[in-house]
Amino acid sequence: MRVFGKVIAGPSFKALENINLTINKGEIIGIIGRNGSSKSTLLKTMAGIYKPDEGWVGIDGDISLLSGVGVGMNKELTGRENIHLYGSILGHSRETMDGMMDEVIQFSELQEFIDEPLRTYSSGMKARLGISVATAVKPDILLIDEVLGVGDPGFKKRSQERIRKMMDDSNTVILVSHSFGLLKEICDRMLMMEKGNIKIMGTPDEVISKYYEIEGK
Amino acid sequence: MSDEVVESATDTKKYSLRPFHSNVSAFSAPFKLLSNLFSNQYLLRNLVKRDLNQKYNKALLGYVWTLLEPALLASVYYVLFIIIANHSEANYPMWVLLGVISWSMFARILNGTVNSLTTNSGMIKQTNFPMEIYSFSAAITQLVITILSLFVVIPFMFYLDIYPSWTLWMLPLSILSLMITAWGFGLIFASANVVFPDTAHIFRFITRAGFFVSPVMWTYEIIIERAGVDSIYFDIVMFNPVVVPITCIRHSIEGTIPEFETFHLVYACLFPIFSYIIGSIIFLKTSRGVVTRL
Repeated sequence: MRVFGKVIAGPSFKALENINLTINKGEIIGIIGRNGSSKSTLLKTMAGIYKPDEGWVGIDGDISLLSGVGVGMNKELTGRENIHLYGSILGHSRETMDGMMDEVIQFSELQEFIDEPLRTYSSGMKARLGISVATAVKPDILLIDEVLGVGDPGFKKRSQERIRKMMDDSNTVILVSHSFGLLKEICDRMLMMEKGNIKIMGTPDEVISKYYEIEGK
Repeated sequence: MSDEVVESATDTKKYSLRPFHSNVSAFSAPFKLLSNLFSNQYLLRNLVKRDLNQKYNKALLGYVWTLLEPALLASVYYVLFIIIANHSEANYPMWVLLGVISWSMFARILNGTVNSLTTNSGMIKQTNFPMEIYSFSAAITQLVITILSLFVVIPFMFYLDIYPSWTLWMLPLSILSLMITAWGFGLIFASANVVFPDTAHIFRFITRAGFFVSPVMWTYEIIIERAGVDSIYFDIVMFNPVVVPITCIRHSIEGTIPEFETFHLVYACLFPIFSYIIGSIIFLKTSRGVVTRL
């Protein structure tokens, strides 16, 4: 995967600039930075959602962005119908969705409610359904925007385990997060964003200590 | 760095990567857009199902509303028109009904397509599937509603002693041409509407005013009778691409064949085709670039 160029949002503000990044198969990359440093913009550019005004993004394999879980779900459709809908929004085929239906329902622990319309669900249940679908696939390249924590502690723990499993299964993972402990543990390489630029890139230890150095000032 | 940035997308070949947003040539755009829709059939089906559900499932009368809505609307127009124009043609209520159904579909698809990027901004910023899917699924939803609505003419046909005849072949063709005209023409302006929200206001005006210059309350034959074939008003009216298809829809039910000048017929056939071609080129070239402005 290679990202290259800049994205401009708004007439004078450059959301990303001077990005030249090559990520190799099998790498786990962590991205850190303050709020508004364009971490999410970089991730969305990698996912092909934003088109760079200059430069290009190229990938090899299929790519999946884990963010805004549950987008497009509909409250009048049943849980099961929403699994189909959300799955297709994430780009899966009918066969894939049929294949993983049982597993998704089981993971979400919503067996009794799965044929009820979504409007009868609590917000926690909706989020559980969304996460269960979003984390059920194994893309070649996985992009994660902030590790998702919803539901009761039990589900939160299980969903985090599942995301870890997903990251193990995916060839390449790019992760935006604020939990440095997690990043330090799993990343091969990290980069720190500042005002749309890649400020530092290096090993997790290097980048995190640099981050504290800069932020400490 | 800036020298490298100028390198074009062709150097993705150096890395044997599949580039996002590769440039689509104007020639291939109409085909590319079709193939995008074709490869996302499952998503399209789910989105249409969602929209229909949203609209009708919770309502007490459900899908009966697809019949009731045009019937109620047409009866209002009919009463108004009887009072104002004192028109006493027996088939007139059915003409208004067919006009209302066809025009509503056209106006909704056109406005829906022009607004398709702004109304779906939430989803567009989270997903990377082809953006023409939003407007196309909305157009299909309207098509389904229209087809259901058309059953409302059956009681009128009984009442007026009209039997379905072979001219019905014009019906699907005309409806399809209305749909493609609205969708293709809307695609031309969908990206512009993100940058200049005034576009939506202009189109809302066009569809409101268009109601009066389309054969909903009047018919093609009435215009010829009142204005005459040589009048400038007739030429202006025939500039409206929906006159021919809506007239054909009416005649297809009544079992007659309308008489058009060859030029008007060719114009009506070419309009949807060129709308789609130009719409697909402009949409594929510009839509991804405006996502950051949503």
